Amino acid sequence: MTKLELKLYIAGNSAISRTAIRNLKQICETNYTDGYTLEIVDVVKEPDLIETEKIIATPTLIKISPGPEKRFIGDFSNARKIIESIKIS
Amino acid sequence: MSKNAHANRQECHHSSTQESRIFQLLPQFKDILLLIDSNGIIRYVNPDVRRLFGLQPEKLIGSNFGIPMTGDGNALIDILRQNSNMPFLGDMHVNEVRVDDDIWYLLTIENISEQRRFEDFIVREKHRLAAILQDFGDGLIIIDNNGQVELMNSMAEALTGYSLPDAQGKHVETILQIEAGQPFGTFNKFLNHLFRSEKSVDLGAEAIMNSASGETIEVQVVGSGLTDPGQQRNGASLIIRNVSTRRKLEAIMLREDKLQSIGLLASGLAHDMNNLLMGILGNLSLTQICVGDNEEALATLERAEKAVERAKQISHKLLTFSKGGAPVKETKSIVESIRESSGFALSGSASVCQFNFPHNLSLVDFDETQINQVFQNLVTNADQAMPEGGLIEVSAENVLLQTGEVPTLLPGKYVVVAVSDQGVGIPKEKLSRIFDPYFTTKDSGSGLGLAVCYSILRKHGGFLKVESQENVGTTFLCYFPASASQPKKSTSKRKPVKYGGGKILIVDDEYMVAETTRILLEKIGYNCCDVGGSQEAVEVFNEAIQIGEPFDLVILDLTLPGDIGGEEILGLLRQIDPKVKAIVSSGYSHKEVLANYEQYGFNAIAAKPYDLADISHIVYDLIRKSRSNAHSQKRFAMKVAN
Repeated sequence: MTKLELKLYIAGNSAISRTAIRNLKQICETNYTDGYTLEIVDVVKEPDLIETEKIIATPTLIKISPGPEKRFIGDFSNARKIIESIKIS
Repeated sequence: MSKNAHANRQECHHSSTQESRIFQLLPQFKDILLLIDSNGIIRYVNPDVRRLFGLQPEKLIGSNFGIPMTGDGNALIDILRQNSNMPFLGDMHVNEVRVDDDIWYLLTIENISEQRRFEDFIVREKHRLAAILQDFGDGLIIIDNNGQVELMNSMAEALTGYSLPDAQGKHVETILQIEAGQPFGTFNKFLNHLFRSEKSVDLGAEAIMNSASGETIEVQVVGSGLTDPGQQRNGASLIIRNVSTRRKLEAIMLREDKLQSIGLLASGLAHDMNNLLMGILGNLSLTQICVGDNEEALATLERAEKAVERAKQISHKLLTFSKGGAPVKETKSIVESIRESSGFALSGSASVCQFNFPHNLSLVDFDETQINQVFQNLVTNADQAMPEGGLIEVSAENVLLQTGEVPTLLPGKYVVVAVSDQGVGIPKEKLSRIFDPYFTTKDSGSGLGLAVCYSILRKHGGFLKVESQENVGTTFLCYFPASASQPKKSTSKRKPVKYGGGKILIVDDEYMVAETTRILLEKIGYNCCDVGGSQEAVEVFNEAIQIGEPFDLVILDLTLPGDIGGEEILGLLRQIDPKVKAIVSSGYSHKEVLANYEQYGFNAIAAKPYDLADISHIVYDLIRKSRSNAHSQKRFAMKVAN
């Protein structure tokens, strides 16, 4: 099975960021036990990425693999919807 | 620009005309309005975002915003502004819209940055207020309009024994068990008045509260009504202050004030008494010398002398009790004095003393006579509390006191001596008066004993406390500052009368004292002259020098009413003859000069009434020393001349 590769863009260590991280980690640990990577990028520390990656708002989650690349915005509290949208075959 | 982005932009432009017509029909939003397709691409954004948020709509359209992923259609997100480090906080609401067979998303994003800043401010202020309340030294309780507890600080939790979570929602009368005095009579009446009053309301004096520790404490309670921004009544605040400690200190100060006033009277009485006793004792001593071996006469005189001794003790008691009464201290272990005085107090009694002293008990600076008096009194009281006899436990230990641990005592090292009995105890209502002069719980007794003990301890820089329970027993606790000094060598025992020779000038305004002293000293071999004041003293002293028969020694009364004192007279005499030796004598024992006589130029002290044997040795030693010095100087002068 193709490993799940995720990148989460946040803006600082705010309550919004912490909620998103917590929800995603729970989803991954529960549903992708075969392996996943979740990279967390803070655009406050790396503001250049806002332009290069075209980030409009945070928290933005990008599913890098398996393709195609998909973007999501929100708090990721609806685990079922996330899993359906990510859809690993 | 990537291929996908370019394609997206073209598609968006094609449908933008149709869409813009739709959005023209929509009311003007003060928020961001986004239309997102099923792939997360922005299809439409309201043009006002430029003006409202500094965002560029043309750059947003065709960008990949992302597919909204929320739990209930709402989420907080940070909108990142280009060319700015400050994102603004958006409250995003998502509505799914069916477009053909696809699900698109209509998003409204409200800028709540200001609101969040305000909320953060409120949270910070709440934290600050909470910190201030916790540090507040008194108990603070906030109640609502129904008297139910909303908030209280840690001091209030400690006083009531309720934690805030347990107290919240309960009526304040449940957690505050207060018996009110005047003017309200009950706490409930006070609360009713508080809710009707526009001003602060004081519960009044003598409010008693059962604290969490089970102790009954005296409290001051002040209530104030609270209002909301609309000036509507919004509950009340109660400040509860434990005033028990303050009251105890006030009581101690009042007691000390009383003691001082009575002390002034006692001081004068004792002084006059000492002078009279001087006359009696002096003449008894003289008579003893005159009667020779007549046993019957000697026995009679001895009985008379004992009676005078007894009177001397009472006078001493009064002096100790009076203003000043500076103890003449020595540095040594207090253990022997306690054992001796306790043993003396229990002679002939059915009670026994059990002592418990550690080996490393600190030394104490104390006046042995006074401390003996303290422990005699305390042990006697303990014995009297157990009419059938019993065990009196006397123990001591070194303690390190913290600030406020014992009233009036500074933090530091102390020796505390406890005298405990298992007797009848002292009724609670009498405990606070036990050290008052002339207060007694016994049928007989002067009521001065404990007042004297208290006074002695205070003058030693210590304190006397009592703990008692009826039918269980009583413990007196005596606190002494631990000494920093080294002990002096032991004093000599009582000596016989020493006869000698020399010339002595006696200066005392009391004729009886002056004459008696002169006769006594002449009896034991001295050549004496007595005068009543400073002028006469200087004249006589000068005349003696002129005729080549100077005085070897002067005995000066410390206080001559209407005249200069002994210290000043000595100054004048030493101007005439710097070598003259001087003894200071007084019926007052509290004067600073007596406690530190050497610093004032005197060579010895003699407290009235004198003991003939003691004063004979003092006089003999001083004159011998003086003559020996004079002789050495003469031999030296002769040697130099030769």
